[in-house]
Amino acid sequence: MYDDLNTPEDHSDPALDFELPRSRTNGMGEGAARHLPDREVPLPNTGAVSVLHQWLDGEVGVAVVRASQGGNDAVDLWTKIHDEAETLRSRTTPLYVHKRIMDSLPDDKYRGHHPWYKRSISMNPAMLIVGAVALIAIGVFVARMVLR
Amino acid sequence: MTSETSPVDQADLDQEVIQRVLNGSRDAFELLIVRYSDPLYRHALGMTGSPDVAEDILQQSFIKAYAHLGEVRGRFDAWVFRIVANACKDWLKNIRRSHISYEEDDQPSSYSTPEEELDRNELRSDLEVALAALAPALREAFVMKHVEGRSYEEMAELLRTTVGALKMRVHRAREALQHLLEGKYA
Repeated sequence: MYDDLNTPEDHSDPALDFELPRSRTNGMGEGAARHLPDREVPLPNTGAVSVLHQWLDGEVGVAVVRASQGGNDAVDLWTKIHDEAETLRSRTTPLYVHKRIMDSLPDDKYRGHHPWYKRSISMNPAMLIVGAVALIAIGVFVARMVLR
Repeated sequence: MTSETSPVDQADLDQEVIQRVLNGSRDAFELLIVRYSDPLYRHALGMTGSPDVAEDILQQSFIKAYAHLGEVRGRFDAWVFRIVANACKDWLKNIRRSHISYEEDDQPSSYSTPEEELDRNELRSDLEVALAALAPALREAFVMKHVEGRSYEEMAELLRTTVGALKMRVHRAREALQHLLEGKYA
């Protein structure tokens, strides 16, 4: 099967959204139990919402959001979410995972990967002299055969 | 992704390591794992909410990267990121989850009181539930922007899409999360 490792946006099928189990909504908004599709349509550019996004994108200060309708509540909520995100951002890979990955790699995947004519060779002076003498001998032999 | 050298220098260093691996030095691959595992792990953790699943996705992705290392064109970090990102989205599409995670979390607590830790654990759980309600592409955009702290330009380069499309996804994700959480926390 062809497995394209470079395929970029091939995993965003909006038909495969999650439906949140009602038992897990835990007092959150009623919309928690319905689909939240990935629709790329223009966003309604209402004032307070727009200002909130600008603040979250670092384009305006927090005072501008607080001055908007419902701004204080939004700032409080997003400050909590941001704090939680900071905690996640400090997470690091457990060290045993590195070892686990290395242990699971095949041993000989790239051994002998290059053909013999691309491999480097090393010679010491004695081998070099023997090689040169052999080449001269072969040359003399060929010359004598040709001149006969 | 996480280095003091410029991206160009880093790409050259990565290429050197890749060549060593392709020449038969299997152990050199660990340099790439150490260099890039943390941001990839955070992405998988943000996308799945489960440390165990994030570890498995990371392991499978690096094995896949190793097997196809000769196919790397361009930056290794972007290439391996796409392997992890696709694995996360596949997992999200296939899983039928019966539990919310972070519960196996063995990282040390940084909260001053048990009450504060309880509140934060509740928010963490509710945030995970809310994130699970998002379409994978929206969750991915939100995690990359707000958990990993990437710029829209960097996200666009990694996901091979436009800044405008990503802003749209992040805005949609924020509005959905706010709708789900504001009744309880705002």
